[in-house]
Amino acid sequence: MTPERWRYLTGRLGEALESGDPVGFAGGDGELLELIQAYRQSENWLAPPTADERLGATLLGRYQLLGTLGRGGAGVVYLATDLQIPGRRIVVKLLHDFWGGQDWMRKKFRDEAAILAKLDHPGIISLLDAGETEDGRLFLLMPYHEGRTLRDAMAQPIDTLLAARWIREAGEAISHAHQHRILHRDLKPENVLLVKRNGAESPMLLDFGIAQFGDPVTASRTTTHLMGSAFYMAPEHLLGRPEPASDLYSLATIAWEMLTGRHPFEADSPFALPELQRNGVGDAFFRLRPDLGLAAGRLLSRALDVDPKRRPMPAEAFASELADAIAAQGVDLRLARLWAVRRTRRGVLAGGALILAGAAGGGWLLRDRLKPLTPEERVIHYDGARSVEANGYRRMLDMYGEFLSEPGRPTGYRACRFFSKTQGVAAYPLTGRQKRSAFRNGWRMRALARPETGLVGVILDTAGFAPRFDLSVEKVPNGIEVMAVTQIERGLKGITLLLDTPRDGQLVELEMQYRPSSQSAVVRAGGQVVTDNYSGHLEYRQDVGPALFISIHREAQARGILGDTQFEILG
Amino acid sequence: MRPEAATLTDLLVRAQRGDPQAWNEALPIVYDDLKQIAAAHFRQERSSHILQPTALVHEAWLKLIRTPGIGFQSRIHFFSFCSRLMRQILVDQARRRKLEGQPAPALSDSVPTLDLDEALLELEKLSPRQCRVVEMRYFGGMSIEEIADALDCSSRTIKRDWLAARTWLYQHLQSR
Repeated sequence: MTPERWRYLTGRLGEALESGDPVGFAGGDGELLELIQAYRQSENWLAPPTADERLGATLLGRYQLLGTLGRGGAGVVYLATDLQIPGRRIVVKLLHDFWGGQDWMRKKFRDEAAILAKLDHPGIISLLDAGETEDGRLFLLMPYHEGRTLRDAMAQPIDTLLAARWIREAGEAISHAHQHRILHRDLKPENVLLVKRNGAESPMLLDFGIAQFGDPVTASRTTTHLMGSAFYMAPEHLLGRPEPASDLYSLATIAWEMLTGRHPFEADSPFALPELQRNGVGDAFFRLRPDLGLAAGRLLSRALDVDPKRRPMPAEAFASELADAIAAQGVDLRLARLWAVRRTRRGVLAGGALILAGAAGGGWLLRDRLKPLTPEERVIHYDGARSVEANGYRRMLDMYGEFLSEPGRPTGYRACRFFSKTQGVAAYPLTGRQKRSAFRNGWRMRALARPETGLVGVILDTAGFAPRFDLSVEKVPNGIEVMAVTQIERGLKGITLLLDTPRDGQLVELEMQYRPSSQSAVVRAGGQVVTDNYSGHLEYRQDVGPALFISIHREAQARGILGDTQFEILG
Repeated sequence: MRPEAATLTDLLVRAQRGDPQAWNEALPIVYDDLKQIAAAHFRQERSSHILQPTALVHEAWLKLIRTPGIGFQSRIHFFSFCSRLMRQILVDQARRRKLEGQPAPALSDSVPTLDLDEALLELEKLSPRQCRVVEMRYFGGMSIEEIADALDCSSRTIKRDWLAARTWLYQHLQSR
């Protein structure tokens, strides 16, 4: 591009935009159409902080407006200094002209301001004054607090116990307002300021009630945040009928996001939201944070019920119960991985969450979840010299076996030769308690294997609890290839290691050891480390526990030997 | 030494018209104040929406007009001057933070300071005036009319410049 060319295009774009019908104006000019499209996408981008003639002016002869803190659909927020008390900083919210245009609105504003001024709670920003400016604009005065917003804080994983405390305190603040018959109506992470109190951050709710005058859905469209207020609003609120339970709903979505790094309903647009809300969240929370136990997920699921009457009111009780449930689970968790997954695989997980939301896992509702596992629950041994069924495994897919008992072979192991023309799986069903314990404390799976044609290996699949861990061996021309599978769709991919072909009668030792601290497994084969950071794959989920499998890959028939296999829940 | 008010205004006008000497003379007068204000804002790590350069420039402006011996006849000249300075200060800050391994302060969620600065250098090759317009509007918070006044152009021209420049920057940053 030359400067001349760009000058020409600048002119053309200007003419097109001024014509009122840019696309029609462009006709078949592809380059111009592309510019017009980019122009439209960038309309709210690089938002010019428009000059405001009010800056520098003095309000009520006392508050000098220093700068703009933000602007939204309802009005502009200024930072001001109190000329009567030097050094004191004040926040002034000046509502747009049109809100004060009608008498009924002015009355509503005054009525609500009167109630708001009575609220006195550390978790709610106080209203110092409200009224009309000399030229008839409605304004609100609030104290200025240093702090970051919850939105800023959520850029990084939030410590779970800290999140629990914030949820509890926010719930108390919301209930306080509800007791005074005031709804917040626009709870979202941007409206929660984290203010230092006694050296620790505590939430302070901003923009209560009238401060958020007018239609919040419209207001949110003018803000720069991609996730507008709508995503935090209850279904009835989106329909324009907010009630106290709507604030509870918003609190639950915020809590969810704090604890998982994701929004409970990941919709592409506000229009797709109602459908997701109707479907509810099911046990999705538990699947994301099994370590927090069942109670937290159940509470959140109730708070996100599409029917406001079924939500666990009041907000304070809900928040305190949720905080207790979280804190009770003794928390030692690294959320980093959850966050990483959210960043890289947002699309995949959004889709997954929808599916999960529909499938409720009744089997997990165990009362005895706190009781330690018995040795039988902890160690699941597969004896290669006994049948699949005799070991408590179930034959899931086409799989035939024969015991290896040829005389003269080294039999330091007990093994079975399996055959399959497609893929064969035998799996041991785990209880929800075993699965939870396995992923909270770690697990180890060991097997002896030898491929003849196709793949043989072991799997741990817990459908929704964690990715599927899948370790196989396959005979290749120059040896045997060990693979920790990371992807099945569109070809098999994984972390591989080439080993020498074992001598006759020898099996390869396979081992996966899962560490909850890194949410990944160390994989070893034949005494070598294949990878120390195997985090499984997400495809082909089946609700099984540890499994033996055999599968064709490049051949017509799979044949391989699996020896003694042990799955052990650690801790 | 603070020059007389008329002199400073004159310097700013000349700097704005592209006189490099005037720019260099006016710079130290405003730079320190502006940098201090910006640094205070960054240090306190206020939430990102508060880091609006406009607010910073306004604070500098309010501070300067209250300084005895300094008076501005033209707010517009001050702002157009500051807008360029503001870009410089913010980019310096962002670079330093980056070197220290800290996240660079961003003025808004969607516009990383250093990326924008690099894109502006490219844009300047295509149209120096459009680059000025973006500085004044984004870093200085000036209105189209004020920019037109400062650059001696019609509002319509400046508006076209602004829209085209924003579109170009958006495309440029998206394609990276």
